[in-house]
Amino acid sequence: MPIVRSRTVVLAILFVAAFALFAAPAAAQSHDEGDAGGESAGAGSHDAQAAHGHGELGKELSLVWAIPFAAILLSIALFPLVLPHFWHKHFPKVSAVCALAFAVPFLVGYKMQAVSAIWHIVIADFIPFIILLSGLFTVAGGIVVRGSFRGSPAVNVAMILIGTILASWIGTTGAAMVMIRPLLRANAWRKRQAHVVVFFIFLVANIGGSLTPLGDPPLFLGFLHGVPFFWTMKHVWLETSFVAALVLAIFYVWDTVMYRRESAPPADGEREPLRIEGAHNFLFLLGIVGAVLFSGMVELGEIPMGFGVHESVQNLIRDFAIVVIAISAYKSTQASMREANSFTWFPILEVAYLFAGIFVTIIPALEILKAGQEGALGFLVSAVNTPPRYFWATGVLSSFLDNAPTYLTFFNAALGQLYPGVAEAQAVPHLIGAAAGGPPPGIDFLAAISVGAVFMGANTYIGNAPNFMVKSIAEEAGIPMPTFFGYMLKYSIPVLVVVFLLMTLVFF
Amino acid sequence: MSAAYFEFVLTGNEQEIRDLVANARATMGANVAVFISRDVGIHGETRLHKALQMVRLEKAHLHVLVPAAVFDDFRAMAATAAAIDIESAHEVLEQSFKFRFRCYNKEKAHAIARLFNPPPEGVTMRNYEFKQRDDPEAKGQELYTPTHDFEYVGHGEATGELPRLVAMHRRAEEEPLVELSEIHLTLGADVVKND
Repeated sequence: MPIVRSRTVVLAILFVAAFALFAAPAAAQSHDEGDAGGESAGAGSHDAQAAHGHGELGKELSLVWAIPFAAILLSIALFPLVLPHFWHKHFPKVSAVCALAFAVPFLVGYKMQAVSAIWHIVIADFIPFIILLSGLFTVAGGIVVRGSFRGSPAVNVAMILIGTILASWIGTTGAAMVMIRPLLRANAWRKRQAHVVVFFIFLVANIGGSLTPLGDPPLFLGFLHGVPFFWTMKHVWLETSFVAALVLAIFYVWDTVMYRRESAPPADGEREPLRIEGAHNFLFLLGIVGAVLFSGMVELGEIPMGFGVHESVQNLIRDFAIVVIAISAYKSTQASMREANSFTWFPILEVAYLFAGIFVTIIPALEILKAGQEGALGFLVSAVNTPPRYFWATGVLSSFLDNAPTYLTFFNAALGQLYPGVAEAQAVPHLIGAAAGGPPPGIDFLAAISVGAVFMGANTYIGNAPNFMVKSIAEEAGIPMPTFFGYMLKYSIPVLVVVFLLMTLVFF
Repeated sequence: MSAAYFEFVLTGNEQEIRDLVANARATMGANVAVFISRDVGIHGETRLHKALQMVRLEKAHLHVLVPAAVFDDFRAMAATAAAIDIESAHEVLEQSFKFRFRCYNKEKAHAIARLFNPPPEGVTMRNYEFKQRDDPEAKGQELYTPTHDFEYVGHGEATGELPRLVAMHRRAEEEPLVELSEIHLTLGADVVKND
């Protein structure tokens, strides 16, 4: 083992060093040229672009800078499939190596501008993101649904529908954690259960999270970048209802056919009535909703956070409130409730380690995209130029890469395309249709990106984090879940992709 | 004739063939196990034949497994049935099926282990390998690094006396975590053609 460990460390150092050698001189050169062009690196408030001179940095950077970002996304996608035990043990190191591979040459080449950019994304995105996910996860982990149900098609539809509705309020991960075990218990007597779990992944772990920023991490990132709390509910509720209703109807037919092939269900025995334990956590949930809404509705000014980065007071209050709520929920809930949900802190640690790497390495990709057609990804910005294209491009990438960074990538691509050279704080109100006059609003673009990122996370096991969690829980309950390709060929392509094509025709 | 079983391929009306088999079972006694291949997971007709029969483009072809001890009696019964033709009757030299499993649940793993280890009397195993892995570090639920703290995987091939093999195959079919092949027959000479 020491040999393996030292080999890993040596490889990591070599990767960082090689990248630094390659990228830093280019960075220093292009930075000098940038300075000569009169670029200002004024202190930004809540806008990374301001710190970099409204997309100037994005025009300088080549795609080489995005290699660590691609590496971490591909690691998240591929390691669980090909080297699961290695990945389980070493994912923090992989994340750190990718982050350093970008950060070291970036800091060498861009010095304080780089410090400011990294610090900004930590303050504005990473910390609020982790706090919200931890808060929702802690609160949801204390809610337990008990009761003896018989897994008939009608009962399964009802349970999945409840999970779908819950998902927008306690997050797809929370809803999946709360609802998957009751669903598995209800269907334990059936020989054919895999399809029930797959449709649960479609609806509860993905599609259901599309209505609020609490539902799915991509939408919370949108919220952090200026999209109002109720924006998605107002603008994509029809798409969500259409897709959820269609997928549920298909599930009902599918489950009915499978149900008829089952032998007679066993005798009921003693029936346990339906009850929700730890229901007081719904009050804490309301508290989180209130804290997030508060931060979107009031303006209390900004305070300096160092390195030219400022943070809004209301956001700091929100984050503090969520931490207090999470601690209160944890303290006031019996440990047995969390044990019933197999709650541990490990998923939060995973998110923290991996998203630290993602948020650092995504900086160049976002800057390049903000530069629009003048950036190194100008070809992508030119090719993806209508809402249907945004829907499918965001969706296809979200199917195979994590959907939160994918959302942020296309969010910035849309800003770069529709409002090139405009700072994010001024561009987002146009994108969401809240600014009077000026360029045309990009409501359809943002709606397409939002539903593309959220819905199509269901296309593969690797599209969204709760998919893996649900698969894993089902497998440990003894359900033969389909393989990676089996999931796609038997379920997601014939069901979801067809529904999404139909949705494109109807809505975009 | 040293084979324990013969595989008759009978053509005609499916219901009449099934009636013939039922009649044979009734008259030859409970100890005589006659099987219709498609009913018990034995590889019989090709998919093309099944499809053609389903759309009535072809007469029913049923593969019927008959013990050697009653071969002559069954052949005589089939020959006297007006709407049934004997297309062939091969010696069955060997029968086997392959299986593999992957399980992350200890209770289910025990049930699977009981299916194959030890094998039922009259059944032997080929290339049977299984592996159990415990990883306490992987306990609990994960979002991005899914692993299981317990894993039981294995594969092999079962061969032996046809009735016991069929019974074992049926029991294994009840366990969704076990992937099974059909029971494959190695056939010898066609005794009808050679007569």
